[in-house]
Amino acid sequence: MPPGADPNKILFTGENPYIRLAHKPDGELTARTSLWKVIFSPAGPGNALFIVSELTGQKPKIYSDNLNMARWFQKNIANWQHKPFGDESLEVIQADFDAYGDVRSFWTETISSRDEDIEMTWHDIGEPYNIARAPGSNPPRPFGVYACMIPTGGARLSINGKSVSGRTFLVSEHPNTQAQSSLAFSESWLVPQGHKL
Amino acid sequence: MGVDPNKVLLTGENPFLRLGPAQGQPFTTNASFWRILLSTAGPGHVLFLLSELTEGRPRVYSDNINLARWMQRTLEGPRKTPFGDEELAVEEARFRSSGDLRAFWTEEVVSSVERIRLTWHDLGEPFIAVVPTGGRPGAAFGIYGTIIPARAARLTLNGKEAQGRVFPQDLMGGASSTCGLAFSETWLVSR
Repeated sequence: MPPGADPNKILFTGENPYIRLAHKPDGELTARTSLWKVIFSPAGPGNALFIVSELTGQKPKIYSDNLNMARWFQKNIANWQHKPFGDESLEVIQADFDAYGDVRSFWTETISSRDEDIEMTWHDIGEPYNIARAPGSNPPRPFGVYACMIPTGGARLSINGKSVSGRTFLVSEHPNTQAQSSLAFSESWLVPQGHKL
Repeated sequence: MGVDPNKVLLTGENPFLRLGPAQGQPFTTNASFWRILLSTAGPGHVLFLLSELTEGRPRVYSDNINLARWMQRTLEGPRKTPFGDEELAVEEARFRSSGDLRAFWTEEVVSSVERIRLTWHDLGEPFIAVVPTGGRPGAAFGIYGTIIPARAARLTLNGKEAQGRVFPQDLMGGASSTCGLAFSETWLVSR
């Protein structure tokens, strides 16, 4: 990586931990989540959780403390990741977000709405590593990404105390698995200067 | 570009605030703030502060003394900053941030006898700064940081405002200043 200032435009920065569970490495996902903890974006700071699981009846749900930011993510990011999360007819459920733990052993994110308490916990923490990908390096996505990835061998997702079935798998052991979980901290997304979303 | 082969030392945030009387003159206030999510010494916050408001003496505030001492040994001492002396007391403090980076950002540090507020505003265009691990003579660390330069900043200690101004400064080729918010910052060392 050459030294200097990356010439591309920063779209947002923050954290993007996620959990994906299945019964087998190549099995159908029992849960897919994408949590965004954003410090800086064109739609302001805030938190948004995109989730679909057996406990949501396989229907996508969105929780956020910044409706504007959640809709911005749906329009500009979600369609590139998991199209059902981009459906703007979905309600954005107001929620409070918190986190605790020590990444040397475990990390928990809590999402509390009027009717639901969601807990996401990562454990069996792996060796962190940094990625740097230039915009356009993963076509057709226009985005570049810098992030500190912390893979985890264990993850748990519960809604109102009920845990989603399935487990997470390490890519180092199952390179093609979708059922992986990671804490993605210090994450910034970029686009080429002048790029229109 | 791709996966960096070096070892991650820490990740978090490192806003900095340096004020001086004139461009090129020694700083009268030098503050280095750390919010750490991951390190071998655990998560936590540390503020290293040297200012005319501290009578020109370095001070250290933290909610994780283990992290503060580790940062002194690992980062501050080797880089010969004013904050590496482990004889310095580490003042127990609480840390809180507020703001919206489209306008301003404030970090507040409260100990048993002091309330310190660091505020950055008139924010510039963010950019990613990259320092390759071992890529510069004498620089052991690699750094990836998301820098939001500030054209204006203020530091107060128990309500008294530090003197001095913010000055433009090049940072790894990016248009920055002596005050900035370094978010999403990861430091690495060779394996």
